[in-house]
Amino acid sequence: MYNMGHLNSECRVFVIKSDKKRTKMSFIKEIIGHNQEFILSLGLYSNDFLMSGISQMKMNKENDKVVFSYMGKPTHDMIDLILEMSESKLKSIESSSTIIKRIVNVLIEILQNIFNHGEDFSVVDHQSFKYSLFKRGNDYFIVTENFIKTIEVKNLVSKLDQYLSMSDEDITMTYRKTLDNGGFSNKGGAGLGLINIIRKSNGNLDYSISKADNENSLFRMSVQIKVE
Amino acid sequence: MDNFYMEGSDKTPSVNLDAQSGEMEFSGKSIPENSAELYEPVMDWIDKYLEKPAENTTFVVKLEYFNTSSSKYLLEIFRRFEELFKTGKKVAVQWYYELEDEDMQESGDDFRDILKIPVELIVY
Repeated sequence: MYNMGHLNSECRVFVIKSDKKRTKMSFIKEIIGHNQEFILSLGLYSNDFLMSGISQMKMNKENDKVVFSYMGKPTHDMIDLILEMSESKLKSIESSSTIIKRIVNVLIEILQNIFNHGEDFSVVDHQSFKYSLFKRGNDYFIVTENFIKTIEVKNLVSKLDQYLSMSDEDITMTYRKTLDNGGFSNKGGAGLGLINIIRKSNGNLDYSISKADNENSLFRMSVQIKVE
Repeated sequence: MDNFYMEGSDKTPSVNLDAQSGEMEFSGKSIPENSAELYEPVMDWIDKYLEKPAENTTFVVKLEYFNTSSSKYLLEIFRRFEELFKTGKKVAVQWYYELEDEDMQESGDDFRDILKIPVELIVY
């Protein structure tokens, strides 16, 4: 059974709480289509838990405008839905098709990167993935949280810090060199995803990593797409 | 040999490869999670085409979105045509982008920078 709550009247945030197995995509799309701000959550969580998640995802409740948010397990279907609904919402609030396409492009890379390199979601708890796309002033922010194996943290940090220290020209050269020479990684990615995200956001990427348990770490990333 | 046609979807491009005319086209979106599954049959067809290619081969790319793993396959395909170009056959890539789509224009520039075959950037 679906529960849709008007959780917070000030933020105009709507939440669908539902058992994943019974969720119908068409129903979700219909509900989302009618509401400006939306938090989608799959799983029967308590309101306190949801509010805490929303607070984390909306960094500044007063001024940020949520385009689309989601927390729960990222399945292929959900990732498709996140992309489709984020693009559809963006088209209703953003006039520049260049900006919309840039955001969607970055989103595709982020979500597919998480799917290819993130931790096996069946072994971590229900908070395994959070995503929020929101607008602050003219700029857009994509914030994600997901679990990664702690053993992979060092390599990820090393790559991120290396790419983030580069100038725009150097990141373009690195992208072309990696496209030209790099093979496919053992997880099916092309090794280009991170470079592309940093390139398209002009290096406006922040991240933090904290240890979750003995094996997993929580990776939080915020990517800003500036609108001139 | 038979032509190759694949209908596009929300995540995969329309692919139209014509062995007789040498006109090849990719259009729509190319954002599959599994690019290998999508592109391996295309590569197989191209390998057969290269055994008896047309005098002129034109590759039209009109993509709205593509992910980075698709870009690896696109480059791999163009690389095969680079070999054909070296034998004296005419080969060209026409990279279409929408007016003001700086990112798609930039992607065209990336391929032009890497490849030794002519890559023409065309606004549509």
